[in-house]
Amino acid sequence: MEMSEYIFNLTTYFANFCGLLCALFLFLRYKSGNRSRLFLAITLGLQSVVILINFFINAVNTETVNTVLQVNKINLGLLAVLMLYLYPIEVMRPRWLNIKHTLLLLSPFILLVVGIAIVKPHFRTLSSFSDIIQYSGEPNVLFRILIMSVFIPFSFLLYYFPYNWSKTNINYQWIRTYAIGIQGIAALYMALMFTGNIYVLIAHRIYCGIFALIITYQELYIRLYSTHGNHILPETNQNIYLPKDLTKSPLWEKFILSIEKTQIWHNPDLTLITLASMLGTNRTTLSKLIQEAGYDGFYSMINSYRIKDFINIIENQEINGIHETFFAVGFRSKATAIRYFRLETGIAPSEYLQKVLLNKR
Amino acid sequence: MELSKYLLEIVLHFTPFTYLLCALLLILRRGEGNKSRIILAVSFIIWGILMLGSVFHHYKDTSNTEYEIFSMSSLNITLFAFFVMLAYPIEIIKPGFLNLKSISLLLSPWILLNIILLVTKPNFIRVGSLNDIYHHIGEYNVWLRIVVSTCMLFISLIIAYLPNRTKSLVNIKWIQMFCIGVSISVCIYIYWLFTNSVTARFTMQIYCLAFCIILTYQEIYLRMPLSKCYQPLPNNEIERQISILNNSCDSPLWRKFTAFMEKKAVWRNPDLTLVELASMMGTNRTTLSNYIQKAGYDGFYAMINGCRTKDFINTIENQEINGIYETFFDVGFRSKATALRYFRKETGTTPSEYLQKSLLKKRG
Repeated sequence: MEMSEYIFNLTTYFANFCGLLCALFLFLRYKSGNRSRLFLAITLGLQSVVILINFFINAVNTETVNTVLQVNKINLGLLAVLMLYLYPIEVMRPRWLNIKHTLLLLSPFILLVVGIAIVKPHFRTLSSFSDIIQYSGEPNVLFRILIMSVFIPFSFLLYYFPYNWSKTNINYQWIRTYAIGIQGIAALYMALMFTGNIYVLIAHRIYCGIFALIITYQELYIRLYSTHGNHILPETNQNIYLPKDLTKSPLWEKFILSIEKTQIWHNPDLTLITLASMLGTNRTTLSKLIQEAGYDGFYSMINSYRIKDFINIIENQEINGIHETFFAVGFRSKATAIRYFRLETGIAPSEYLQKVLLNKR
Repeated sequence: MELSKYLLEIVLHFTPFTYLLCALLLILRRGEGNKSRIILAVSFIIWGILMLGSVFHHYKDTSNTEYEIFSMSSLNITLFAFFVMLAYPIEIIKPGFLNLKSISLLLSPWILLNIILLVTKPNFIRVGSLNDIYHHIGEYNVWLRIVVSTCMLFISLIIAYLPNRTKSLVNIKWIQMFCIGVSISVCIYIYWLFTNSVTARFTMQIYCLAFCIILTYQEIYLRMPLSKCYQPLPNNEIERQISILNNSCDSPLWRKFTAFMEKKAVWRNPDLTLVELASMMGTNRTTLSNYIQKAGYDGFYAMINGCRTKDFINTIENQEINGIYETFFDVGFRSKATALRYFRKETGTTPSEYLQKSLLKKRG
């Protein structure tokens, strides 16, 4: 066996295996999460099984002729890429995906399969990239190139998905990262379909495996989610959380009052620039003032406000749960929330509650 | 390619990946638990690397058709691997026991074997079948191999009879399950060693794969995570403010039982069984079981876990605690999932929400 072929086998096993293991863990932890875990588990599991079957068929048919732009592979690839959107859409708009919407999402694939089944066009077998260029005038080749060119732009769908932080289960940063991740998969798949190069195939497999691992890890351990779907907090009794060290600057006082009045930290997508423009200043001034007030930086200030808000809420209000409350005050990452809570109080939330409870007696 | 060979190839690749990925997950989640996760991860990495080695060996072997069973090198490596696998249960059963000295003590049988091999340098004859083994049984190199493989069968006894397990982080059932798990894998391995059959190898790989996933899952989600500075709660016979047990059954014998159980806080023993409790109270299991059901419990375990939950609630409401899981551990739970399930049954919420609710109630 050739070295490259062996590495290819190894990476295929790796990608499959990552998918299957991730699906297993997501499925096992489905009950302690929400529906999005099931979507991710189904997507990863199904893709792994399809790749494995495909690989098995290739291993049995030893007479492999190097072909590019195979129609059934384009079909499967399209399905795979479309399925990758199920999970982020469920995360962004929980409960939006019903049978109708899922079919709508998968409609390009269904249309393609039905269309090919009805028209039954003849597809020329192409064996290399130069073949594609040579025959690019033919409608069947042109058609395939057209379909392939939809792969990458499709993930822009995520950017233009109706986005509103008070309804979404994740922040904008995450959506952007995920979309870029899928674009990477789509781009590698396109390169693979056009060239049929084994090294591109290897890169594609490794990329998919690592993508599955990272997404699963963040879903299981990092992402905070709200199961109730309603994150609008009742107006709190305008507690003023004094900053660490109130400098005597009148500008800073004005900012603080404005920040606390609007409870701006509830927005998970807040950045230094947005805040500066909201306060009618520029980022340099704001950043300087934040540092003068004794904070390490913008994020440390915002997260400190979130924790103070969190503590205020759990001590005085009816809540749905610890994680839900972290979510409500603007956190979107479990790890960050717990870290900042520890920074502020030195202990875990439940221990903090217990201590407060005992002190009250 | 034949189907069986193909399946074997898939499994041969999957198993090392499982081990390495589970090790990665354990390392990433090390912060929540204690040293045991790192130890488990390290042993998984060693297993993963050894298995990758066997994959390469498998590929090299396909050209080499000479048939051999019962090879010493395989036996040697596997013995090492099994000793490595024991580090994790030892760390959980006796936390803090594993240091450089005890690790070398643990590995000493394997080191001894290798010294013997180095000194005597026996010429290992190639055996092709059980018949061959029988013919050469008198030879030193053959019976040495038989002795080593027989010793391997009893390897799990090291954990079963680990002395002084009062500080154990798991209950006796877990230890039994682990020992049975290891013993079965040894049996499958030895069967494969003697027959070199594809099916046996396939079974072993699948078994190892499942073993690895189950072990990782229980370590991350089921076992109680205790902080490093955990100190066990003193179990003194105190007067409890609330009555832990159900008093609905108005029989003098049951009242005697409840008084005994509450005084001794019997539920704090994680290994308590119905038989043991019955003998402690000088009765038999049938009588006790009858009374438990008459008092309105579903059964012995429901009663004991109910007691643990009530004890837990009593503790968190009245005492300084180290942490939620530490307190669950103190009252006798050894599984995170069971503890949370019974807590939910009793109160309808999670511990932290319960605390928050009682805080609000106190504030009016």
